[in-house]
Amino acid sequence: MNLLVPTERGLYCPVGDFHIDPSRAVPRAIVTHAHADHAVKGCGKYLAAPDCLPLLRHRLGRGIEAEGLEYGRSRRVRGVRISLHPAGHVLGSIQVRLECRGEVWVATGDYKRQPDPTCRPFEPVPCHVLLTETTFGLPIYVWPEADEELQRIESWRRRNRERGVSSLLLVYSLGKAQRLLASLAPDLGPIHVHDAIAGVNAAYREAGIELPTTAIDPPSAGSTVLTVPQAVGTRWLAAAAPYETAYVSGWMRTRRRRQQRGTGRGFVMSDHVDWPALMRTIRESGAERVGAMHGSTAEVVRFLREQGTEAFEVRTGRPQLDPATIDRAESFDESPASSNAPAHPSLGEADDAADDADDGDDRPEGV
Amino acid sequence: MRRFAALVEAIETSAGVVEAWTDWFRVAGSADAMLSIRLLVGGGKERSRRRLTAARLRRLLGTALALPEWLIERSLGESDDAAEGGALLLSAMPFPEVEAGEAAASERTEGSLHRRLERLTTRLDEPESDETDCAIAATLRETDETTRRVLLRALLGTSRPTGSMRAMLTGLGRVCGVPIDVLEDRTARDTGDDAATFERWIAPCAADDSIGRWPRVPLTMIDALPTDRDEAWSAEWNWVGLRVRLVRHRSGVRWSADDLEPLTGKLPEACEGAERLAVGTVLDGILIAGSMAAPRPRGDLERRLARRRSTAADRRAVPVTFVAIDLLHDGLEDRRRETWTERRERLEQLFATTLADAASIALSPAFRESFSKLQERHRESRRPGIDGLVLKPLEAPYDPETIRWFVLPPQPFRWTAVLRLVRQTGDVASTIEGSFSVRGVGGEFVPFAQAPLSFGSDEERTEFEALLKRTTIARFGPVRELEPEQVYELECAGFEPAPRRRSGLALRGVRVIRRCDERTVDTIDSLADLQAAWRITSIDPT
Ligand SMILES: [Zn+2]
Repeated sequence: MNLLVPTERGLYCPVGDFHIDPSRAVPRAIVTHAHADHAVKGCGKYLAAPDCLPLLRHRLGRGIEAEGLEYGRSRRVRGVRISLHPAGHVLGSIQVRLECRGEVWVATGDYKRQPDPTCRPFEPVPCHVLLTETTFGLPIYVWPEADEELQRIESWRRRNRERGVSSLLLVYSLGKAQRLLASLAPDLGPIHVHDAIAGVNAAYREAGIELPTTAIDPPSAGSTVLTVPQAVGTRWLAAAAPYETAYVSGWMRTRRRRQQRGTGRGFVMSDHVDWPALMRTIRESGAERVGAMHGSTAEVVRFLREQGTEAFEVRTGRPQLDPATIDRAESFDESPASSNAPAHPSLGEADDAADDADDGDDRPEGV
Repeated sequence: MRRFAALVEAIETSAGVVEAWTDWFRVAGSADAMLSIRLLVGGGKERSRRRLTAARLRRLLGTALALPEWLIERSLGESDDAAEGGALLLSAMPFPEVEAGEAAASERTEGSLHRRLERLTTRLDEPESDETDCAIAATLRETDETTRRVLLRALLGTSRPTGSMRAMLTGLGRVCGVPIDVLEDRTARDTGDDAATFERWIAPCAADDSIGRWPRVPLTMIDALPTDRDEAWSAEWNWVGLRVRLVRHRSGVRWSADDLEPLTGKLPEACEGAERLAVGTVLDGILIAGSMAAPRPRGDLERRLARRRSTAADRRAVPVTFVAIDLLHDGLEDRRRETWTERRERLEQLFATTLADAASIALSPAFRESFSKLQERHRESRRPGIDGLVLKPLEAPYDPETIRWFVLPPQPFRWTAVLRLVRQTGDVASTIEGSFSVRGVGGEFVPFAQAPLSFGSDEERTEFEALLKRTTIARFGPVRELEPEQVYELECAGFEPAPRRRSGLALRGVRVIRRCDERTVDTIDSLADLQAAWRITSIDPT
């Protein structure tokens, strides 16, 4: 029995008649988290973790019909028992557990197994069939300890500050930005955030996550700025000059990828699972069959089969992108959908940041 | 080994390279120091020999990680450098178990660089086997990814000695105390690759080479002036600049600073006068931009020093002055054991005679006054180029173990401004931040400072929130724009020019003192008044 099948519109549950993370509008959607490539506008009903709801509304608009299902509670939909379990990816990110006639399927969504002060830690869920993300499914992707990498970021900030140089950390507006904000030392001066991030911060706070306050002033020399990559070059950031930039992403692991981003500096901090944790998760799930989604699906499937595990690639309607482009897609779709309120980005003088940001950055990714 | 990794990263990102060399040389043994120089800067006689092929590396990784070779190859393809790829892949291998009788894991990870390389080359000379592969991988796995990458490059024969020789020598000079020109000379002539060569490089110089070396004297911060010792103090302005020592060397004038690349060649105007000093003379002082009478911002000094050699145009654009604050050697006579009073007397004599008409060398004025008079000076010590007062005990020798020079920071700056914007974050127990404006030239409001508002009690807070509601003109998410009504008194610890801001200033340590209900918005400070009162001369607020 196939509890979940890949379709043009994403993962579909034929028994329960709903989609998980559909890529196009569908009547009923379970959304694993609020990243742009997992939550789309226009669905009839949304089901998500309660702490995902403020983010969903921030991204998709206040008017959506969205319902929260407590972690670990189950609900029956046409003979399928559904429950949601923490995935540790970003605030409100979940794995979806489906049970029908004694068979259990788990779709992990995006997840990580490193600690993150802004969301619940991943919980292993035993199952018969595991659909796991494999964005970084190669053994070269092994994350350094989060604390270790944080220390490198801090010493970079400290040295920049001593020289009167601003530190620009280029991050996803949802997830990475808040994880960093909650972790950076407060004694290295105020932290400025781009408005796309400030909007998400507000949603995090609404969901009860404490985040340090950020500076209202436009950044000036020696500041720390958390920003989305597309804001680089805008007037808002010009005020921070001189500055150094660094991406914070799992892709920063190799020099080649760092150079693709046009930055020699990069910090390896990912909200996705790395190779050792992926193998551990598969082991801990006890799954008889494993489906691989996103990124290195072919490699993971081949490897698992050679190890004697039944494995298959899960290809949904989502366009198959170069992994680095997926990374961009998440970070570049930043404009909140509910734009009833006037877009007044920040106090002070640089009111043009949001406008500039919308111009986007269509530079092709380096080769 | 962490310091070695930090050094490699510093070189790769061109950030803090000299400091990184210094830190590394402090802990590295001679053999490690030499190996690191050859791997990262190059030189030496021995050509690096390839001991490991890319194919062998793939086989070795496959065996040690128990992964199929196609997956190793695919993973290595993520990187454009086999050494980097191999180093990263090895992190997927569990940390090797410590066998009984072996050294502790921490000791092994910190173990020396050259021994590790030796162990690896010995193993690579053995016939290929699973056991050898695993042992090689384990030796690499014990160290960090960066060190692993450097070691793999050495083995693959793809070392990239891209580090700057100059930065390395500067770092080395700081640790061993040998002047950098001496080091330059020695490293160019003596080109061995072993520990003994390194030790010859860093051997102490002949007597007259060592004049430039002495311990650093800290300026200690205290909050209060010890009032019971009125007469025992001499006071000087705390000049904003760079602490340097002037050394009249046999071959000319040298400058030594703790935190900088050598200044030699950068300060020709100050050298002119100093050349008249007796050989061996050492003055302690502060290098400032401009002159004592017309000091300029510290940023100007940094820009000037950033130039490799200063041209006549640089000297015209930013003149510098060496402000002498102490005398350590008077010719070949060491005066550091004498009291401050004695040293100061001799210093004044020098400036009355030898240095009388030295244009770019000045003597910092010293005040021997009563406590109340010093308090008055302290109030004056908040102006451009001066950041408080330094107090020196009259009897103190120049001895880094015992000397205590107290810096009294200046009084904070205060002003009144109107609250124009607030941002409220969170719902309950939220913080409220305010943006405060002063009057611009045309009477408009100019954003001047940002600071959190705090409340003594819940009542105060409730009252303030009511006031907020009443005076809100517009809301932008968590930000409210207010009627310009509420006047506040604020203070800051200091400021820097910030030409990109409308006020032209970036303030440090801003704090709200109180709300001034008795004052109206017409009475707030204007930017022009503040600039006059704070003697801000170096900014252009337009
Ligand atoms: Zn995601």
